[in-house]
Amino acid sequence: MKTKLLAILLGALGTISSVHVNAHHSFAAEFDANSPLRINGTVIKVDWTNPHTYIFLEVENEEGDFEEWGFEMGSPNGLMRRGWTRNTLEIGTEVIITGTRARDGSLKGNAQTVLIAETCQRLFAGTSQRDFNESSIDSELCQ
Amino acid sequence: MIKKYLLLYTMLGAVFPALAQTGHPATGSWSGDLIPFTAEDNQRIRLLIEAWDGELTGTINPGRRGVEIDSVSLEAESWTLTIEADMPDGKLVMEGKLTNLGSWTNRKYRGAYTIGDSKGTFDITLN
Repeated sequence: MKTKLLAILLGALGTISSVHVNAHHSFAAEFDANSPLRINGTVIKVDWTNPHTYIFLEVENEEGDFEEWGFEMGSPNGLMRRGWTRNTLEIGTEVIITGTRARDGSLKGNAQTVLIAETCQRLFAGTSQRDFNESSIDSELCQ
Repeated sequence: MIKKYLLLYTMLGAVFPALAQTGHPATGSWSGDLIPFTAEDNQRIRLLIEAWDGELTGTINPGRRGVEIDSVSLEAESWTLTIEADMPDGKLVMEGKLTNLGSWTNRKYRGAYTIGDSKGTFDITLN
């Protein structure tokens, strides 16, 4: 009977955890390291979720239209180790993101750094890009 | 043993409804356009609406140039949401309906607005 109970419990846990597992993938499968991206926008949503945190920006394009861009960042735990909290980026914060584009050409990217325009505070976004060197980022981006 | 099963299913039964909780239908970050009746260009607008102890509050264009909303009221029978705020261009009054409430990605707030002497419609989507 104990075995049955254990099996039911493990099955239930497996069902719940699978929701997160299907969101995980390799960097190279979704993003192109040879397509760098730098974009200015206003934070409209932050999804503080595992295995990746996502930040969404409203960006005005060259035609004056507004687009919604989504950027993948590290896990919440990884970001917290880099000094982030849930309140680091509030809705309405103007930011400059550097990173890489999605391979499929959609309005998505993988963020390497997030620069808060008002304070010039630069935050590393916990990218999963293997060859990313944090010291290679230009510290004068804000000017 | 039956008690153990009952306890297990009770716990699981509590978990899944908790995952489905979505909060107040008006709260969240919204983006869209004010569309004047005259030939002027559309005006981009963002809303951040929050609920504290059942009271709605919020900010228009949150950020450095954000304006606190004076009042937000929701008439739940028709899902009519009314927002008032003192904007730099004059008093803004927005009255419209929330639709597609079951959607996380395409919830809409549409209606009519006045700001100072200007009037028009608005089309706003939950981010």
